[in-house]
Amino acid sequence: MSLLPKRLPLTLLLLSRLLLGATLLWAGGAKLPEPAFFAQTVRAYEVLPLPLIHPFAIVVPWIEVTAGLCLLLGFWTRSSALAALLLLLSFAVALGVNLHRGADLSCGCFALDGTGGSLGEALLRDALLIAVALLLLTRSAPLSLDRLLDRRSQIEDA
Amino acid sequence: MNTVRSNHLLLKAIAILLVGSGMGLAHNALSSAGIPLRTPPQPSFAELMSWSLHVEGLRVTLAEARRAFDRKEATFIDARPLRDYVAGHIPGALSLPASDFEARGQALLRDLPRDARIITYCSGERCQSSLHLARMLIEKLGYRRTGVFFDGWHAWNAAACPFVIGEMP
Repeated sequence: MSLLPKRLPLTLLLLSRLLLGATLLWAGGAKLPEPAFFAQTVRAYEVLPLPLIHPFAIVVPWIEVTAGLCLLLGFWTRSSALAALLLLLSFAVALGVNLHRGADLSCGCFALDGTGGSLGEALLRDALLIAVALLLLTRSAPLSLDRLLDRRSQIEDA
Repeated sequence: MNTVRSNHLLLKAIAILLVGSGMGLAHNALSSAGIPLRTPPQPSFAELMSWSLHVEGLRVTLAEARRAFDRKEATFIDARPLRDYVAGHIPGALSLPASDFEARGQALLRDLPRDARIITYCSGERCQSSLHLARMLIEKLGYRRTGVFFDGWHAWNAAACPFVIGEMP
């Protein structure tokens, strides 16, 4: 916690929170209506053991949406950032492994139409989001539901 | 106060994962687009490769694929995920990801006679879905003249052969 300067610009924290939240919400929302398509994507990456492919494809878009919504609202911000971090790290492993293999895949990160870019681009974007999640993990963000609830409980305590 | 907070940090993160998972499972159970929790098995790459060695004339080279394409002698089937098909495929190719075979295979090929020449492909040499699909076409639907364009989309694209972007007509 003390690695970062005590006073980070509030706008940076706010923008980070909104960026990560919106990205997760978009990514999850695009995938969740059709688990079969996302399952194909997960299968094509050839990273997960077979029995985990369908459960992963069923669950992950909804975790993205849940964590994304929490981040946008600023509710349980640091925990949402931690959950997001777990997802982002697992994506990084899958992308990294396939980049190393030289696999010819499109990332399948957002929608079905291949707009997610190449694996390299996706890994870069993933790394950026990991940095954002780490930043959010260190402290609560301004203009959030967390702050509002905190203030209220403080008033009650007094 | 602070230690309580950090304990809660992890618990709340787990709660988010659980709530998300619960909604995913519920949606999957209720939605008509739901998929089975148990992932359908897929033969291993080694198994498919050794099978392919025993099928005569299975391997289709780039030149043969191109010739068959130019003379319209074969039906091409793209075994990659739909997303990759949409991003670019051999003109006229049908999209049938190997994992969709059980659900859509028979209906998709309803009008194709059993003695028709089929050529399957996926992204390239490292992918196995074209082999898997070919095996099912041969063994389950009886398309004995099925071939696999091993070098696949990668080679087709690299050779600047014609391609089309978009969904299946």
